[in-house]
Amino acid sequence: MRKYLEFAIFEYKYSLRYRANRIFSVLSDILRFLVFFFLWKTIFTLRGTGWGYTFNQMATYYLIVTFLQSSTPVCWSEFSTFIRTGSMANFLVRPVNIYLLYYFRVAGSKLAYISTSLPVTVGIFYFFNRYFTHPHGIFSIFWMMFFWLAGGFIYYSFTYLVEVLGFWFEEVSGFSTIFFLIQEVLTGAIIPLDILPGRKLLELLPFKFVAYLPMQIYFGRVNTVTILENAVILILWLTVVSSVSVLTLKKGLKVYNAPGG
Amino acid sequence: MKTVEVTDLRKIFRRPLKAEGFRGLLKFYLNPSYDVVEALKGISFNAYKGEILTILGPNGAGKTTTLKILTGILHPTDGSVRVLGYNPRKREKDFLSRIGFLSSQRRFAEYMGWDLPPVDVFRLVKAIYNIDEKTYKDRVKNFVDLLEVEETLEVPIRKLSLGQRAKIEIITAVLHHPEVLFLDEPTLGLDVVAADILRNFIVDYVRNTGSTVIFTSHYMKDVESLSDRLIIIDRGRIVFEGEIDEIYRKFSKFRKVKFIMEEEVKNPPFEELLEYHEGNELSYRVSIGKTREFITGMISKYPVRDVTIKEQDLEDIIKTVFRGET
Repeated sequence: MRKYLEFAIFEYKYSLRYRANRIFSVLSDILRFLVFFFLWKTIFTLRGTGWGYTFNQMATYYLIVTFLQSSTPVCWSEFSTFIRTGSMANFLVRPVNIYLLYYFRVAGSKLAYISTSLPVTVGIFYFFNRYFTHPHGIFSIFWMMFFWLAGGFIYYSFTYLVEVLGFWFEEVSGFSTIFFLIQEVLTGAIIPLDILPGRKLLELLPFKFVAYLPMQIYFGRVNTVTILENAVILILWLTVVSSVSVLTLKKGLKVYNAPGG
Repeated sequence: MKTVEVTDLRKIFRRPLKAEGFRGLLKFYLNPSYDVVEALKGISFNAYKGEILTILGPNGAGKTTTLKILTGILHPTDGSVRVLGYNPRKREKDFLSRIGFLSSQRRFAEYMGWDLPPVDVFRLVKAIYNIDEKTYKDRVKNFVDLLEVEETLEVPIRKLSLGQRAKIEIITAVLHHPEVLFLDEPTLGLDVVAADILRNFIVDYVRNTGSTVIFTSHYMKDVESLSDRLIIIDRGRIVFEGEIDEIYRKFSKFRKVKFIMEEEVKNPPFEELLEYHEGNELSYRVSIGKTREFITGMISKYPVRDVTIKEQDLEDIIKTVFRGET
């Protein structure tokens, strides 16, 4: 595991180079949060209620979900380029698991993002305290982090699977665009899943683990039994998705023609 | 001791064919067509511990494909490959820890750390192979001294010259002391000095570690100064396997004889054999077996100041013998 941590540290350092880019990433997240904040403020003003949420809960939901969503590891789109151009050969000849290696690389770069965005998010929460709701308890923070971290690995695996299609297709950006459009809804990043129709079906999918479920735990809207049930479901998804990811890479390598010199 | 065993290796690729222009693109969309390329047509060879083996051949001959199969990057269509007793396609951890590979483009350090200095990339290599701190420091110092790259260690890789980057890349390929090292055109694009340093480094590495080096190249200078043995591949087949001397012995038909005359020559003699003429310099292509007679004839009839005899260029021999070019 140490070698993968070294890659995470490497990417962390690498990502810290672009100060301006990091600042603008955080600014774009603040902007996104403000859009949702004022949208829901208007809805609450016109409608009076918010489908079982108070306005403060809704504001908290978008503040934290925006942070979690941007901090969740996503397999870089360069991965399919990495396959297409033959750069992957540099890693195939070394004793590393490419699936894990990329996860740690992405996680390292996300950590660099978090080191800027977390103080900003906490600052907004602290200075505009009157608009936000506090967590239900210390355990809710623990479970929240557990689901976000493990769910983040599942989420990474899905994006990885999209990129691994690069073994069979020369260009995968079309698949990637579709996936990112759909996941915005499925994670609950745009609207909390319990407000959407087909909630039962959406809750069966693993995307809720990175945004919607952690927030339900934060608000104390999920009891211990449901948390444990979800933990079992998460482990099942984790097993299935990581097995499929490993298998797909193996299959892909069989048809790989490692272009370039 | 055999470290690499290749038997009847075949590799077939399928390539998409796209005709020119918009119509061609549309046609490909509606009815994609492919052709089949047989990159390797059943090649067999071995390599041994402590040996430097060169795979030589023109572009598209199958050199890089062979290296990629030997390192487990590509799966062969047919045939058997064993490297250090392992089947490369299985990519076992132990196998990957014992080999090293340097590709000709899009290399490890450039890919990982374009904006970071080489020392950061070396640390990654150290972590991948679990090299202890002392060994790591000793090896880095040794390699850095041999390759003369000390001043580049803390400079971002993008700021380095092509030659400096090539030297850094080779360090990332050998830092774990691989028992079999595969180099795909290691001197490609380098100037004479950098290429020379790199060649000396490879020889030194083999001498100190007893590793096997298999490398591909277009350059005869690489072959002449590095190779213990040579394999020439052309259109997916091995057309020659043996030592360089064997090529000269079997296939060399000419020698180059150069004369420096006492004074400028206006009408050089033996024009049918003349290759080059300028001022008082004359260069001839003389059949082996007739060299002595030719030189004696020249010296007795004309005012010769100096004579040098050179073997026919290896490149020349290969072109004429194996590709039918003149």
